[in-house]
Amino acid sequence: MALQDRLLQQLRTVLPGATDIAITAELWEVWNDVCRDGYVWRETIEVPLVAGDQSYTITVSGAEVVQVFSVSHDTMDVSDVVYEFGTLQLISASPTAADVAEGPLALVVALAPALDPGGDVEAWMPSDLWSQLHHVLLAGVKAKVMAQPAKPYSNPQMAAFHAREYRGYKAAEKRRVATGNREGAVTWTFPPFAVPSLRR
Amino acid sequence: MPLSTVGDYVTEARRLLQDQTAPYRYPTTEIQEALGAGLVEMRRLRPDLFAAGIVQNVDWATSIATAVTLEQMYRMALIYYMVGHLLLRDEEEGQQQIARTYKQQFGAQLVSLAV
Repeated sequence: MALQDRLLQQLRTVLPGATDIAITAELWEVWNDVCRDGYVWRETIEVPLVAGDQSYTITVSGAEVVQVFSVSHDTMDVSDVVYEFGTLQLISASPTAADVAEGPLALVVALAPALDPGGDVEAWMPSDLWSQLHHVLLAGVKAKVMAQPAKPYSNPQMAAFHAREYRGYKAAEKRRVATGNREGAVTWTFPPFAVPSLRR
Repeated sequence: MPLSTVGDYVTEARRLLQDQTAPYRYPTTEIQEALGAGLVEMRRLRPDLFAAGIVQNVDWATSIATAVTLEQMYRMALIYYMVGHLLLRDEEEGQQQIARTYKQQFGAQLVSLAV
């Protein structure tokens, strides 16, 4: 049984007359939105260093980087790095042979799908996220599909209900990922204007 | 799987038209033309049923063994269109009303949960 079967079976049940193609198309839209707005798909990418090289192209198979949260290395100072348009630029530090020997750079990034929507649904996301985000994807797809006009499954009222449900689940997942799944963790910080050291 | 080929659609349409004994009132070529017209009409109402927006070309010259690619759930709706389309050529008011009913059933099944 494929990972997406449970999700698709539940959607077929509540969306009479909907084709698998229509459901899958909206599933792609929801998954893309959850990744770009909720940063729920996070990975740690290892970037092998090259001595003297300060510019590295970051590519992820089947995905694109939407946010870099942190860059770390055991010996090299990586406090001054910039990530832009797929390239990681080390501004002041230049890797030495000793830095290279210590291992690769570790980037914690948020990803979004960059696959052809017609591709294999099973490969859209890591296998654990199918279960973890099941309720989010279910609510989001219901909302989008039911909002379509002139269809057997059109239902504006239920579409609005599921849309609210989806926004709530997405916000909860965003917070859960941001806090590392720690109950009661604080994620806010003082705004820069209130902290002199952060003012530019 | 029912209603897989052009011949299946022609046979089913003849069953509803009560035209199963030769010589036929409705020629097979006309029924096939109605099938092609129905597919185009389905494309207008439900473009999501057609991959890349491409409608399979079915006309009077199409072989009856040709497979018709269509979502299973909407194959009977296509039959209703075909029957309604063919009945429209009759001049009796009763037949005209039946033709309109079939066409309405076709449309209703595509855009709502009509049985």
